[in-house]
Amino acid sequence: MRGSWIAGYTVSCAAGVGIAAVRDSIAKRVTGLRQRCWPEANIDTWLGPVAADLSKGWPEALSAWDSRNNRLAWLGLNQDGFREQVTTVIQSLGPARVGLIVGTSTSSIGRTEEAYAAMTPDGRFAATFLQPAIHNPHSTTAFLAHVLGICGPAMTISTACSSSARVVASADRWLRCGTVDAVVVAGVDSLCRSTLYGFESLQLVSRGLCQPFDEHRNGLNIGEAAALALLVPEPAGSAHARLLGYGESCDAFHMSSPHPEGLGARLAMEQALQSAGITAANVGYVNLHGTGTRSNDAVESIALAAVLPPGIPVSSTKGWTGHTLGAAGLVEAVLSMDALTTGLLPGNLNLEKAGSDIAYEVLRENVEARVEVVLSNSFGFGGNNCVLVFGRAN
Amino acid sequence: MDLFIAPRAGIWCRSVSGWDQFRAALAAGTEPGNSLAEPIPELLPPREGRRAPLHVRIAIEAATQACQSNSVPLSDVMTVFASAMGDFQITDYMCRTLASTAPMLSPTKFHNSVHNAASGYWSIGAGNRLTSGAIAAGPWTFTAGLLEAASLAVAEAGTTLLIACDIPAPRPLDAVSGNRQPFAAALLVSWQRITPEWRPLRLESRETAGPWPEPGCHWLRVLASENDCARGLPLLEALADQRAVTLAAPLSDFGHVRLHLGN
Repeated sequence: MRGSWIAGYTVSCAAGVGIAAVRDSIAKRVTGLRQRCWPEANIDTWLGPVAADLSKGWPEALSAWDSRNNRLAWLGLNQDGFREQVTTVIQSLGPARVGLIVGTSTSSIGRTEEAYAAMTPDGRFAATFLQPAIHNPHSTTAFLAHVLGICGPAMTISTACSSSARVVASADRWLRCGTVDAVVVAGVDSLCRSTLYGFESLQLVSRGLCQPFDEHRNGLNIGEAAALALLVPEPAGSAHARLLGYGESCDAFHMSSPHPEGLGARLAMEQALQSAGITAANVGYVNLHGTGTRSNDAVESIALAAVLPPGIPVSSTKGWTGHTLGAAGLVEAVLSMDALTTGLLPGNLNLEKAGSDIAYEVLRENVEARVEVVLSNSFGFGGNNCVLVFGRAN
Repeated sequence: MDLFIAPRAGIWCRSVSGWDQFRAALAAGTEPGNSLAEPIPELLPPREGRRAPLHVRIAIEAATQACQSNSVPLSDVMTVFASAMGDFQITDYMCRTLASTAPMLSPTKFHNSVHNAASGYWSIGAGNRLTSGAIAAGPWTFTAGLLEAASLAVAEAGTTLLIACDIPAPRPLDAVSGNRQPFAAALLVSWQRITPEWRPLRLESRETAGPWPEPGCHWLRVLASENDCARGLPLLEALADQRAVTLAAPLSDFGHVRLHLGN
């Protein structure tokens, strides 16, 4: 398969707002994670709140759509000229020929949490919270369709932490089937009590900075992010990258623990390489799921060792961003594509000594190298896996 | 997009379980008087089956029915789980618990809170490692799910099982959702005509808005108005009637998908 072209992308997260700021943090090896920085949750951990004040820059005209997730989506949309680029495409193709697919795990649930905390004495939502379009998994998708003026199909994909990797595969299918002529894809997930206390209940939250693949790793840091990209079926003038293939699989093993031999991860990687028509030796860099939990990183390394020859640069960028959950797939797809553009391969942050259970060598320092093909791994609860393959546009 | 749809669907609602009961109820024109016990899918280990949330159980019940009644192996289908609102009972549990100052969440309920919970349980129970999506699209979830299932079947040259499922909104969420009845349906679509019984289905995008088509009998009209996913009932009726039909399935405030179901 040789699939869609990526005509534009942007990312906003703890490591920076807009691609230039994130690039700079990666080059300088400065994390965006901060200790005990979110008063909404009383949990001793480090978090990755977006590097901007979300209380500012929210237009009064959008007040009906107000939620942290939609504010984050709005912030992300307005970076790197992305909104203007989409507007131009809509003017050219017509609003009905442009589709939208958003990946999110929690959407605007933060607003629903607020509504419960502010319930009336008889157990009802207060009048200010009677917002059907917000208390809804589709909230951020409907919001982005509204502000962009997209009239084509709009769909939310919510498969936990693989959500916004899958949006790229689904968008590519829409283009190949001729359903639309361009697709805006997004990954948006924001800090909320559901995920903080949820991962805490599973004892997967690190008290310190996350250390993916390190021998002392002891959990993840939750982050938030908005990443967006524009997919088109033909090479646009200044395309950033090309989707070469993808793999999607299920572990069919457990709801919240990965298959011990990484079977589902391996299947997704093998399928991705096969669909791209390349062999593992062609891969120049892999952006790993690498959350920093004991089991994820060990299992992912086993899958890597089974699929790749030794010596391919691989790393997790969650040391910069935290685990941005449903946004992570597209955030890391963008960082993978950006490695094609800049020639800078990010060395895994906070990795001092690899764990004895890590079966594949992980890149520790930043490396400058021109690479032709990059992979991005995303794995989620429910055993839901998605691997994307991108190549250079030229 | 041109594809094929299996002749029988899976269905579970409060008075009907399975294709034969659905056809009998259509013939009678009234809702069966019995009220069904919540299903415990045989696909799951007995303990898991009893403990799994209602949303998961009715989704898997419909999914299993669709595969078995059409003699399609459970492990051979890609899946799309469509639900407008996800597991309302878990959403209520999570938000209610989190409203306290020192919340202690159940780890099992947390992992069941993901929108792809039914997809995860299904893949484990069916031993199915093929792609499995979980989608939402507000009031247009049924149409978006069908479009996604069709795209998968055509683009990947395979067979996709669409499961569309929503459950009633508990208080206080009933103020922001009109879902009042449980409903799960499952449809199989494929890029090829698996048996001569499979019927041609064409999906065409249209740039005009319009209302949902109404089911033919009163109790199904009520059900369609009380569950986002039950909006797709007219397609199930057309399958049961074995008649060729064209339906307009809304996909947004601006457009719809024309469904041409042939013979």
